[in-house]
Amino acid sequence: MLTDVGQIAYFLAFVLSLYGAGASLIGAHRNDDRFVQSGRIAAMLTFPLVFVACLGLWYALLTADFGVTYVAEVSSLSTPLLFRITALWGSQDGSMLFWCLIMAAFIFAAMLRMWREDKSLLPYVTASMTLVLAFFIGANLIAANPFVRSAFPPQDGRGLDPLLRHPGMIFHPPMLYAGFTGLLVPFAFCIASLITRRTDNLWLRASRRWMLVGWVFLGAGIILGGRWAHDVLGWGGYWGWDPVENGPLIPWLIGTAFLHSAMIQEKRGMFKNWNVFLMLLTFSSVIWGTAVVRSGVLTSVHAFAQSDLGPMFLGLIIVVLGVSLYLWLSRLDTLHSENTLDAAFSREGIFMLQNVIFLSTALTIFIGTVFPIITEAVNGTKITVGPPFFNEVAVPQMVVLVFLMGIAPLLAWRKSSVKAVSRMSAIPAAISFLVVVVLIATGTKQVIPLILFALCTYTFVQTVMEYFRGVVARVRTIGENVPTALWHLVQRNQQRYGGYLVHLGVVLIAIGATGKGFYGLDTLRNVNLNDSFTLGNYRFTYRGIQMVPCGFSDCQTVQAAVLVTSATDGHVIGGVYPHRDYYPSQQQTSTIADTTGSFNEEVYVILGDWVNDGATATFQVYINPLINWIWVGGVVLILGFLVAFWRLEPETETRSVKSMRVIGVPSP
Amino acid sequence: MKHRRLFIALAVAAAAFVVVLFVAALVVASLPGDRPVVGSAAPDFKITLYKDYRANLPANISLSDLRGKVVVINFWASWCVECRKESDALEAAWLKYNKRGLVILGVDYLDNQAPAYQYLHSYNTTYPNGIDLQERISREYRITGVPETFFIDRQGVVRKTVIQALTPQEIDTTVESLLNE
Amino acid sequence: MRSIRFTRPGSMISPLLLVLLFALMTGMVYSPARAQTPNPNDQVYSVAKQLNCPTCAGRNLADCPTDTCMQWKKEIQDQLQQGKTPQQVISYFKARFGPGVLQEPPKQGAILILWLLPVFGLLALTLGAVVFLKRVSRPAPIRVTGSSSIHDTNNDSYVQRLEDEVRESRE
Repeated sequence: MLTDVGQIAYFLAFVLSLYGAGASLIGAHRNDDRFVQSGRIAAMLTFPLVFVACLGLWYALLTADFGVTYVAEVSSLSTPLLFRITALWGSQDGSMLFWCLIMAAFIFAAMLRMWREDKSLLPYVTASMTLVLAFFIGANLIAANPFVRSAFPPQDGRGLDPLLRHPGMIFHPPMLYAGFTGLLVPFAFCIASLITRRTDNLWLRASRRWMLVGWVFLGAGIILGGRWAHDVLGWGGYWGWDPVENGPLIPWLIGTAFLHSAMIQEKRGMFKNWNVFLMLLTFSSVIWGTAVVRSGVLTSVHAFAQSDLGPMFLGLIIVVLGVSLYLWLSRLDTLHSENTLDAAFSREGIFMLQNVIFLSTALTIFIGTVFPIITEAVNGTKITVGPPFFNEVAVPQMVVLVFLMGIAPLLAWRKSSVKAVSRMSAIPAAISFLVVVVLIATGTKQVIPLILFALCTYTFVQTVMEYFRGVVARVRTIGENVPTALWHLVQRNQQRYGGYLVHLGVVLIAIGATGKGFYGLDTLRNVNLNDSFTLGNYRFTYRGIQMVPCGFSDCQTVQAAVLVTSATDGHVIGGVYPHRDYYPSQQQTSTIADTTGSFNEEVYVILGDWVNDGATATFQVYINPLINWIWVGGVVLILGFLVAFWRLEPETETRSVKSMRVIGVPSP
Repeated sequence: MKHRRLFIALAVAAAAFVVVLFVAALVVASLPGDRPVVGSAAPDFKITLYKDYRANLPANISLSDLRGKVVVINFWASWCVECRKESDALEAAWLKYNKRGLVILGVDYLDNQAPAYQYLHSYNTTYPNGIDLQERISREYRITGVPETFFIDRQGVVRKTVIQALTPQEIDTTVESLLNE
Repeated sequence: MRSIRFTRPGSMISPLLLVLLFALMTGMVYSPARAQTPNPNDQVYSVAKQLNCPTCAGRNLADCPTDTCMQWKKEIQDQLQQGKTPQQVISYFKARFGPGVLQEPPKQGAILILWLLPVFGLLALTLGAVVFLKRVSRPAPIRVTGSSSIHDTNNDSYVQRLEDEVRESRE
């Protein structure tokens, strides 16, 4: 009953979002504010309606109403409460509903904001957002309706996919969805300003904070996804360049490029059409990433079923790209720069270079992701573009970005000198040199990780020194004590110092990736009971295997015990209990690793197989150096976002705009 | 002005390039799968039969060589748990209807020879089986997984497809009616 | 001269900086020991790393713990025991399952496009950026290069900029 209410509410949300778009456009056309306000209210109302729809499905999930096909697919009588709630996004149909909920929430928030000087944008912002929402709700209702009932309800459901029974599943999908849908808001502002031919920074100011929100959710979703994969998939890694992982990474990279080049427009009034292009490209890639995740066009570890959504998404991509390109090209002439570039060796120049590399990295990943589909279509051979391609082609570009991240803050706007920059690089360079010396002294022979660690150290130290220099300047001129100076420094320019914190987070991630990538060890061993083998500094002794109660009621668990001791002096490091859970109803086995070791070096053990009741067992062992730095880096990245985003004091932007001197040089 | 034109041209070219890639990839990906539907001619294919599982057929045969017989194409793999449910039923149907003009053709999907032999041996299989080399057949038939079965009549037309393990009754009734045509 | 400016307040901050650096360095500095007991699986493992998991796209066979992958690893082991070289085993898998089983697409034929496209993309983007920068650049002002006084001014401007901002924010 309540479920049917949910479906009706969902359909109403579809109708209302169409109405919202229509009313807004009519209002804009007739210049009638009543229509515009009506459209705005309709857009806001979609949120409670989609929420009611979600409540309807949640009700069916919680009451185990297996008459609803979706409920029978993703839950069973034995599914615990928590996973009944998360089962809302446990499979294609429901997760699209949840997706629309988050999108409607963003629309609600965007409509709620004060519309002052940018009021002329309102109808077009409303229309673009509600049209996209209408597409998603419509596609969901037509091709993947989670409310569909079956004529013969089963006694019990299949239960949630074992891979999705992980705490990461509580946060990872909502984060990712918030990232994807959050980017709709800045896109809508961009489209609206193009339609209304507002060539000033209005859309940029309005949309940058929204962009930041979408961006951080996307980033957090990507990192949480890595953590989930690390914990659940039993492979010791965290990133596999899987299409479903690349889907969110590409808009994240382009979005990062945008966040940087938007600064140039704010400070110098340049790169306007470039910023518009980046914004449009970011959202187009969001749609592309969504299609990759949703339509199942690319088979991958994410068990999203194949569906009829493919052609629909194709249509959406063509429309979004077509409208974007048309608007961009037809407004190109109105978006001219207010200033000119003084020198290539300047903040503007290095931002341009950084933009090029960000975009090229995104393009590389895109090519690697779609190439197998293209070859299969052209000559029928199915190839796989695995991690080696991305590691060889995309990663070097990312390394350059890490270096640029260290050097860019040193370059002044307009013009900089090589000598000044190298002088300020002296201390960081010396410290990276020191690190290299220490690494060589402790036995590192590979050249590439040495270079990478040196670069990471350089950027890390350089970024820390940015704070240092700022604090010094405050202490010198005002005489504040150090903590107060630091507090005020950050408070006075949150965007900059929050951004630097994000940079530090990225460096930590880069260090972790280097450690895991170059110093990681792994092996596959058959070992007899009470025998042992050695990998790296660790000795592994197989102590036995037994059936244990499974964490869920619908599975059988076999757990092995392995003692980990130091290979050099024999002291006990810890015991690990990797296990395999077999789910008879789904005929699926999930391999759950257990870990021990230290913060800097994770020891990750998987039970592969066993024979003769466990007289011999197969283990796969990974030693993952520095992998924990990736998670720490992720946390720092989010902290950096909070510093940049959380308004500690009212907008300071006008002041920095005021302080800009206008150089009146006509463009050639 | 010259530079400006050049820039715009370049930008448009770059954008067009990305768009073409974007769209091409998705057009291709979302092309409706030409999965053989019931009533259409079964796509022809060549298959190399496993040495011990040829049932007096030549090593390399085409589906078209079997025209005039009722053919059951069964996609399976030794690692497939669900397939185990139907193996006995398929063998029983083969023994029962073979003389009346039924050929069951096991197409081994993504599998290695040793475990495949072991699997076939454990079910005392005697009907012809061969490897789906480079997934050519399974892609032609757009299978969604294993087990999957196509029933083909004497004229080479697909008459029924099943995307799960077959039951003995299902095989019997379908084969019986196709043989009686 | 400038270094003196930094030292006074730096004496308070440098311990903090040192702690951070120390944390950074201890993370990096550790000796990865290579001592290992000989392992009959190593060759199987190195072959498996070059192949794909048949059931979950993208992941390599070595890292995949599913039953199918375990079976494939056994196949590699059997073939190696029969005296095949790793290259022969890989060729066998390629012939039987198609080029899709290879982790790294071969750099030959049409697949070369895959490897060349990113390079082309980077070049095109760089070219575009250069053209763009030229367009927005004004004629470079005549500058005296090599004179230290100018560079000093530049360095000053960095500190100056920060100090200006501080003063301004206090107003």
